[in-house]
Amino acid sequence: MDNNKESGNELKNRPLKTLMIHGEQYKTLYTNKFENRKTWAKPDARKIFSILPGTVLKVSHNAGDTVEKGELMMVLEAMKMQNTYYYPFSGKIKEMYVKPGDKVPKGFLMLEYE
Amino acid sequence: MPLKKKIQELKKRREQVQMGGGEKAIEKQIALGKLTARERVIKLLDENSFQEYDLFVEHEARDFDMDKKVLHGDGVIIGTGTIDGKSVCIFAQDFTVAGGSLGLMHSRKIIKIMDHALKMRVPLIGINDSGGARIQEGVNSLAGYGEIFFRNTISSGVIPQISVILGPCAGGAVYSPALTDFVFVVNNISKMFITGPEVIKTVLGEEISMEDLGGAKVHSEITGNAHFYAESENECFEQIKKLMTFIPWSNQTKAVKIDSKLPKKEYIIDNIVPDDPRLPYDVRDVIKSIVDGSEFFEIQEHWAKNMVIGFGRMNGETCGFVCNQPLVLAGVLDVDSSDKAARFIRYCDAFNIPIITLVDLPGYLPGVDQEHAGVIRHGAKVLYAYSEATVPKMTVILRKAYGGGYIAMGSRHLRADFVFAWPTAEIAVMGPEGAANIIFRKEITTAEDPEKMRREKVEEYKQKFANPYVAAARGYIDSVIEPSETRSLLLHSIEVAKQKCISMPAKKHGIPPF
Repeated sequence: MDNNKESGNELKNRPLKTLMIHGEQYKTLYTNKFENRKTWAKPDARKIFSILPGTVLKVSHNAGDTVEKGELMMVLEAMKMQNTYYYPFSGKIKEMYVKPGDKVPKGFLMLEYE
Repeated sequence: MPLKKKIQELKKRREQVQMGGGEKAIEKQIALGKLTARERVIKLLDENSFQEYDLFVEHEARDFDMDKKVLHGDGVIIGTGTIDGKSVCIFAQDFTVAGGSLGLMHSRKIIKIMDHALKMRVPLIGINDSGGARIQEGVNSLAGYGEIFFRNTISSGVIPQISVILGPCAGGAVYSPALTDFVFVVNNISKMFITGPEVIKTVLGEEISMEDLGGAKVHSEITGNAHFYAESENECFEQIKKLMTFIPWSNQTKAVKIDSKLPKKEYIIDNIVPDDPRLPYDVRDVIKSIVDGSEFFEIQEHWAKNMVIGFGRMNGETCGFVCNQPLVLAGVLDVDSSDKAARFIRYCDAFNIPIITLVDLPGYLPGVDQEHAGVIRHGAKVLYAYSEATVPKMTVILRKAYGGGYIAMGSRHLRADFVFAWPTAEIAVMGPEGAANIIFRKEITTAEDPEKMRREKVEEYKQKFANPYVAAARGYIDSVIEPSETRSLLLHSIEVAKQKCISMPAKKHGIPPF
């Protein structure tokens, strides 16, 4: 937090970093948001992550099971709703990471296809 | 009963009610490092100017044994008073009375003073310190919030609305401040969130403190929900009073003009901007070398620092400054800085405040996170806001004005009234490096010494295009000026633009990219 009343002095004393835009390197400071930004990674379709935080109520299959596209995958209670999730495509389950009763945060790896 | 006795009774009643939630509750409030609602109102307003209304209002809840409870003033103080001699309407929630919770009568008091403010065309100041809806009053309490939000919206752009968060402000309650012009927060005291840490923990399993979730720093640095951050309530009140000196009392008036002052001698405009476009400087020094008395009142100082916004005076009159800040992220436009600039431009336009734009940016910030966060939609807000604004618009290009950034930052094409450029200005689609690599790709790759050829071509491009004269040749900028002429030219253009009158096509309203 910049509490310096003669504003700017605190900023001016920080070491500069480099920002590359259109082939040009600029000497400047980073914001915390920029510094902590997540590097994007291509999502792996075989990994199913929770899109909401909640409690797992029901899991239909176990590791090793073969599943059909559209079959019930699990019921996740989130936002006061029992949300049903269906398999996005057919395949064999490599690993099931959740069981009924588990509380999962958003973006939690729940199961993985082979 | 003789009058004397009746007056005594009135005094007694007043004293009783003015104690709010009583001594114990007040002690608790003080222990939290907070002032009481009444102290706040009195400190903020001119001495002896506060006139209170609805002091004797009582709640009318009957369920859940509420009929046995006495809630003095129903947990909120409303009234009128003056700041710097000019009238304002004010309400202050009293946390010592049922946690400042909002019930039907509480909301009716706030609504009364809001209606008053709009009718009288005076600013509304709301001091928020409340646990939220009074659950015992059910839908009546929700109705109260709804009526407040409606009035915030209808009053928006007509009278200034200022929200001061001096305690918790949670759930639906946060939407009132969000609908107002300026939000003030104080370290360790202000807390704003839609769902609190308890709910987040039980529903989501995430543990976080109130401070980390929605404290003053969070809203000043990360979310951009707050506009002013203070370390203490007293500092906060000083900030409010200072802001009030810069803004008009309604959209029908102008801010009070004060005596003109020259900028301080220590800000030497020729010495601030480095010649090398890759080196940073603090654009606030440029502002201070232009404005009266080198006094710049910055807004949202701690959020999206790559854009600087705020008020300064030119010849005693308030102007809004919108400036790229090369010191942070090279002054790029990104999601946050676009939001910050666009909203401020619309504020200035609504309240008859001329806009001065200082340009020095390499363009938009590249990155997957930016694209996926909708930088197209957010960046478009800046175009929309500048195009729509009919107040006088003056733009000075200090150095770089590349690509979409050139167009967005108050360009002639978005109807800036006056566009000036310093001799250091580089107005082009992109920087010389990037441009030469594309335009001369063939020459570079087929050359015997590609690196040498590349450097030659970059230099060639620099000579031809990295200057203000190509744009000046088309009339896109009105004058290439010496930095030291900036203040006098801006003063001149503000004067010329005094009677500015343009008409826009009739419409109900546009559809800005939110």
